[in-house]
Amino acid sequence: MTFISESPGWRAFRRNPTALTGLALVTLVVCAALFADLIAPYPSHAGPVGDFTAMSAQPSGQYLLGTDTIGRDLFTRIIYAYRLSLEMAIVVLAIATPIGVVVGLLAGYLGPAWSYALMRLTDVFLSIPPLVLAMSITGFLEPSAIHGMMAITAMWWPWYARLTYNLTRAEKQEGYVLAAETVGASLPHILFREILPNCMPAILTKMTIDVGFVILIASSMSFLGLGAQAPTPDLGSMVADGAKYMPDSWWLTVFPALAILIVVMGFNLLGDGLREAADVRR
Amino acid sequence: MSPLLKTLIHRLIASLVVLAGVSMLMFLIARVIPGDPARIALGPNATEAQVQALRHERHLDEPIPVQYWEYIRELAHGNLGNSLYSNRPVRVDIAQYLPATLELVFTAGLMMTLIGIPVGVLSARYRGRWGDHIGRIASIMGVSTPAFVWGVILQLVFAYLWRLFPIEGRLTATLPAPPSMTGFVLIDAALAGDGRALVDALHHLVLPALALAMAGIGQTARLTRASMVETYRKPFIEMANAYGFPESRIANRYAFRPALVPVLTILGLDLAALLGNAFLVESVFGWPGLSRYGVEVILHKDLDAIVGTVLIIATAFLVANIAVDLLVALVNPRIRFAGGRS
Amino acid sequence: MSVASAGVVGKDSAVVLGVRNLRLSFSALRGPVEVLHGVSLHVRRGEKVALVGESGSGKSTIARLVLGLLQDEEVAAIGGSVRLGSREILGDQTAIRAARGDRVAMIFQDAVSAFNPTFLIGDQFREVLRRGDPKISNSEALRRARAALADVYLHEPDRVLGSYVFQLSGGMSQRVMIALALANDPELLIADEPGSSLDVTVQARTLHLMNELIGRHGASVLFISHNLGVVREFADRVYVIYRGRIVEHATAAQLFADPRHPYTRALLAAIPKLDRTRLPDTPETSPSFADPLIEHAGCSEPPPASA
Repeated sequence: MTFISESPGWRAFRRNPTALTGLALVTLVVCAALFADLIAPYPSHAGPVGDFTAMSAQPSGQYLLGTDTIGRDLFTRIIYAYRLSLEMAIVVLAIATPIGVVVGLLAGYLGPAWSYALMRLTDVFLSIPPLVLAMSITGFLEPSAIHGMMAITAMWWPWYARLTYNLTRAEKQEGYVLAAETVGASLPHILFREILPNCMPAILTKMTIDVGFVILIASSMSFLGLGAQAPTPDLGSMVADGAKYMPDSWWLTVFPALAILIVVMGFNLLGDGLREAADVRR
Repeated sequence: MSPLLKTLIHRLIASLVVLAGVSMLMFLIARVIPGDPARIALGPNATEAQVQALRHERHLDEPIPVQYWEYIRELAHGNLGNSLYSNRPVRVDIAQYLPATLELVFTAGLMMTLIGIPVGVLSARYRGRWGDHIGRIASIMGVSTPAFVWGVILQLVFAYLWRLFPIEGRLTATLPAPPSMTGFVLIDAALAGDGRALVDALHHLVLPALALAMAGIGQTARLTRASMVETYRKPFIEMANAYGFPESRIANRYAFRPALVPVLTILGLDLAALLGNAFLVESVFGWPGLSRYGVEVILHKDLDAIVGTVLIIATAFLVANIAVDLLVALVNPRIRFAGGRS
Repeated sequence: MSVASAGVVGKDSAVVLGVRNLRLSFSALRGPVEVLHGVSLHVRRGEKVALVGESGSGKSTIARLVLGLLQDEEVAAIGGSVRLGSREILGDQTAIRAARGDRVAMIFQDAVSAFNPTFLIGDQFREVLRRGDPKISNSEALRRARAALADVYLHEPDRVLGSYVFQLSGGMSQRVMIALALANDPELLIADEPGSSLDVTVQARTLHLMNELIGRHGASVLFISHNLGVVREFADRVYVIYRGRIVEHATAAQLFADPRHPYTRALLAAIPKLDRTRLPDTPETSPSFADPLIEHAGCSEPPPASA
């Protein structure tokens, strides 16, 4: 057994400045979200009530990133918004990934009729722009964070089905799968014990990157008013609300926007780094 | 039959299957969701008799397959139903708003290929040097920033602060609009020979299109770079080098064409994001496209309008992808001669 | 053994390729990895020289260094000297680039993957002919391409020129490659295991064809192979390379009559086992394979050329 610190993949990761930047950004955001109650200077500002004596205050020592139109500390609200965003991303991926992976494994392993049917099904989902599909699903319900989450989950699984399908098709030809077939291993055994472990690196990499993209889509929906509703702190609605006070109260828009950029880019860089590390190992 | 034609027909049929799937999916979502569509449409003040009448008129009192069949029959006649929000046929609403959205999306698509691909090619050619690093960081920032954030930032800097471009809208209000013939202001202005309107429309188009294109530019540049770097490792590039083909000719021709195939294929899928993000950008720049309509009908639970809008957008996506497929076949002779995807 | 005096037996014709003490090391995670430990070899005008060793011995690396192909990548350290005629080209990328495809040409192992799949054979032919004559007209290029293809017994040159590589058979692609390599009448031809990806009969035909054409064009050849059996038929002189070192240097006749280095003997013993699917590496490694260079009578490196 080798220690992880000795594996060439980890070594490549450690020497990759962009991957490390990603790791740093992700750590920053995750810590902020986990310890929001400890870090946030004005925890009560996560709710509907702010400090009416300090409305639309410029960034200062007291209010690091300024306050919004009803005097709530922007820094506090961004930290709590991170918490909501990460929760959403984790729930979405925790549901969408298994569904997509199972569909992809089946489509990739079973005969051409199955793969045609299942892949056309994913085509249906993929031909509707993600945002539009998520929006319309929310539209049939009531706009809220939960419904947004459901809608994003519904549009996210086909991507994992596609990825797993392609990986499975390649793995299917490998000797170890043929060997398992010859000894009469059961279908679940072949799919989940033989093929799936070899697809995991690619799936995990995609999940890492997707945490960022789920947050991006969720914020896009709430920007349009179809996501989390007031007074829940949400990055997208903060940008939308702030845009009304441009350019005078620029901080209302610019800081939440930067907050989105930081988290999405962090997961993106981290995922890219993981992919490159996985490539080195092969 | 030429393989190219075969590919085309193949893709057309597949697209129709997908489109049928989209209509079914949307129809199902719309009908299985809790709440009575007729009641929602008429509002809480309507009498039970009125609601019943609407239910009957819209076949809502029949089983879902029958409802779907009725919907498809109407669809075959080009009828997308009526919007409860605007009290007009959905078809009319979409015809009014769609051209503005397509104009925006098309321009953004053009920007994304014309900027993203050259950046990726240069990045790959000078890989490892500082220009490459800057290009990669810029690309990843492009990809990681939502379109509405780009919209807000570009608006803040170029419209509010520097006043280089108008803040919002599609044409200056005081300017007489060119007679509407196609709905595409640029084309209408050109057809009318109205130079001022054309320039004004372009001036309004720059910021929204750029905001919409930013993520695509980053994505295209990244893809192109990755594909080019991979192609550079191919034996035929070593051969081109061994025979002393000029470096620029290798980058722009012998590595470029094979590298373009995967890029184009993925770009086709990315068009979906472009069509979706148009909603965000239109909202930032007050662009009179499908966005406001889409958000309004969603908030009003205007079922026919939602399904119609989604269908139209999916159609636009599929049509664009067939175009991309033909382009791929043009670039990749293997597909042209084998017919079908390799 | 013979001292590094001038070549003895009537070999006074000019040295076309002179490689002297060529070293190459890559930097790896665990420190530098030496790939070539000071390789010296030469090819005289009109001579056919073989460089034989198993895969991984560094023989293809030498070919790529001569053409300056590795220098474009990030390589840790290159040392020694490579002369093309009288010109030192190691480290002079401009000089190598100018010679590529014109004075020096290379035949690749796998012709099918060496042609660009998205361009017509004719396009790639014209690009190569332009290397010899930058101002060549399209019609002249077409005429010469047709002639070159006729030389390799491809009877429908226009069909070949109007094809993509995946429309040709492996044997045909290899012939096109030979035609291409000789199209500009290079002084030096580097042949990297030509046709070894083809089946044996096609490979044999390809090699005979190449031999015939080389004779007609009067090119000097550096022939790279892992198969001594193939070498016997074509080479005047043979270098045996093992793990980045030349271990034996002899004329073909000397080598087959009297193989002296243990590694050479192992290679010779491997010949009968050749089958068409997989060409074997040497049976096993033995410490004696690391024995110093054995030079047969009359075989020695020419003295360093005085500039």
